[in-house]
Amino acid sequence: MILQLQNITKQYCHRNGAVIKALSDVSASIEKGQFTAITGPSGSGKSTLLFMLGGLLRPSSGSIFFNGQPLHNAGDNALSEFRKNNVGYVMQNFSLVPYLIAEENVMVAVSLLQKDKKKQKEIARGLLAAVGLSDRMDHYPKELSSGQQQRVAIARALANNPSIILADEPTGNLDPLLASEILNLLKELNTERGITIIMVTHSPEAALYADKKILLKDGCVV
Amino acid sequence: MNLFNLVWLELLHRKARLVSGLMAIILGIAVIVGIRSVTIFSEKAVAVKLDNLGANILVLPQGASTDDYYTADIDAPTFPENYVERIVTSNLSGVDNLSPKLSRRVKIGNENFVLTGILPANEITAKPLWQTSGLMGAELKASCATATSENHPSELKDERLTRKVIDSLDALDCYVGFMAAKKLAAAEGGKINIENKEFNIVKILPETGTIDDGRIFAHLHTVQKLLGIENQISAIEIMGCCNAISEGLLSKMRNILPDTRITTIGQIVSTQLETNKMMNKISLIFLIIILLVGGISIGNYMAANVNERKREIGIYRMIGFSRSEIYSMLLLKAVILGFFGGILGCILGTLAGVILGPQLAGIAVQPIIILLPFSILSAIIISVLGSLVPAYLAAKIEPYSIMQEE
Repeated sequence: MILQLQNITKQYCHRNGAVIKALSDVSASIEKGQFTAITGPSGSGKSTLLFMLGGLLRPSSGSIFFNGQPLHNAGDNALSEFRKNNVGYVMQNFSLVPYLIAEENVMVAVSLLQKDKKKQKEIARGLLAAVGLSDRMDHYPKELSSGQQQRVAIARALANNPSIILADEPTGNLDPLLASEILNLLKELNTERGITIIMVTHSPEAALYADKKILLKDGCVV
Repeated sequence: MNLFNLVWLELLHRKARLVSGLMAIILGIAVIVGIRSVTIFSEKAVAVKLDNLGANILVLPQGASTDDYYTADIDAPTFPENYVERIVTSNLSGVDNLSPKLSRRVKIGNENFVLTGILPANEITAKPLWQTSGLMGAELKASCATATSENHPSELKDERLTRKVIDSLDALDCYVGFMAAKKLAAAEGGKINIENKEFNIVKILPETGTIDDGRIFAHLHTVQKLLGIENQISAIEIMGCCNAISEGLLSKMRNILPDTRITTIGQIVSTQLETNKMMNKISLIFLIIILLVGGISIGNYMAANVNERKREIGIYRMIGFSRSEIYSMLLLKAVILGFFGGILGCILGTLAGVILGPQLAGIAVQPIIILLPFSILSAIIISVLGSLVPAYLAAKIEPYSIMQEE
């Protein structure tokens, strides 16, 4: 078991004083090498759960364990370390830095673990080639199509050789053809490299790629 | 790829904003450098002008009255003439010329006069007395504020370099002050009897409006013999650089001549010190204003920059950058802005000083290299101080909140 959630609750305080429950008593476990889809309607807490699994957000109560290590009470630096060493992110809007070319976008993530610039470049080029972007390495994000931008994001997610890739609606901004390309790529990473994939989606077609589904409704696992 | 590369690429990406961010620092530093350049050269100009007023240090024996600088040597006790040698051999810097004197009241007829023995070659023509007398001979070389291109603006010609000493004064020659000549009804080429010795009146000195108008000047050694106090003098007049005086020349001289009173024309030194103080105060006031305005401008620019970059800071945090790395990234940017702002500000300020100095202040200003590191350091400090809060706020950005906004 790579990730385990026990009775996770997440509450937000709205500025009018109202308490909003994003997640309520969620328990789940994710096995190493599993492709998991978190599905549910908008506002059901899918992204909140994903951010919690990725060490971007702490629960209001409950416990999260990564390989048996607690994440729910980890400090900010420990969570940064956790993300840097173990997690790759693929977001709906690609989350690329606009003033960096594709190669540099990947190199930024590589640089967190590899200080040698020559090696950073080598790794970044290898990763971009692996996602089929050998001829787009010196392109800025705005010079790339949506599908190509998402591939750059996937290459960046692989920069730290992660054990988990968290994908938040990775095909949300793509047409069906590009969407299936990206999903196939994620599936390939899951099957060939054994990377655990946790994907938030509201698309039933995308969810079909997953081995396991967690359905959320009003912050609760259904 | 490292933090520096990231900061550099971001700066180049937002060139227009980079220029506006830099402008606050450049203008701030330019104002400081411009004022400082003019101030430094103004101080030098004042120093040279004050030095040019002439002798400003008087060495008197212990017990002499110093109520009046200009008459202190009259009837004062004496001290050995070789004290002059002590000063000369001490290699004190800022001492330009030494004029030993022996002054005594003498009676000629029914009138009292002051007989002053001088060594002609040591008398400086900067004294008003000699300036219009037409007695100038060889040039006297000044030791301070020399006219080298390094420390001397071309338009600040050191007048002392053109000063000349009195050519010669024979043993029985004398110069008679304007008022003394009037009282004695003396004429050039005539003779005058002082203490039973005949002196040739070589020159009637022009009116100066000072105590010197009532003096009769003769050769020091003749006066010493005449008064029976050989190898003794009552005063040494020294032309000291005002800067050297303000830097402790008097106390150094007191160490060499412990049994004397060394005094100076207080107004000259205090004017110099006051001028320097005033200039420094003005610079300091401007520095504080610039620090505040520059810091606030930079802070404002950085806050806007952080706000604009929330998304990418969120991305960096998401992929594993720690808060301290985000903080460092912003402060590194502040250092880079400060570094280039300091250099450009120093160049602009120097140009402004060089171009506007002669026109507005009548002072020739030259580039001062030492202001460059000062400018860079100040600009970096201003920039970093102004960026502390925005950088802190940037480091506090939570990546999930940015990702959720998307």
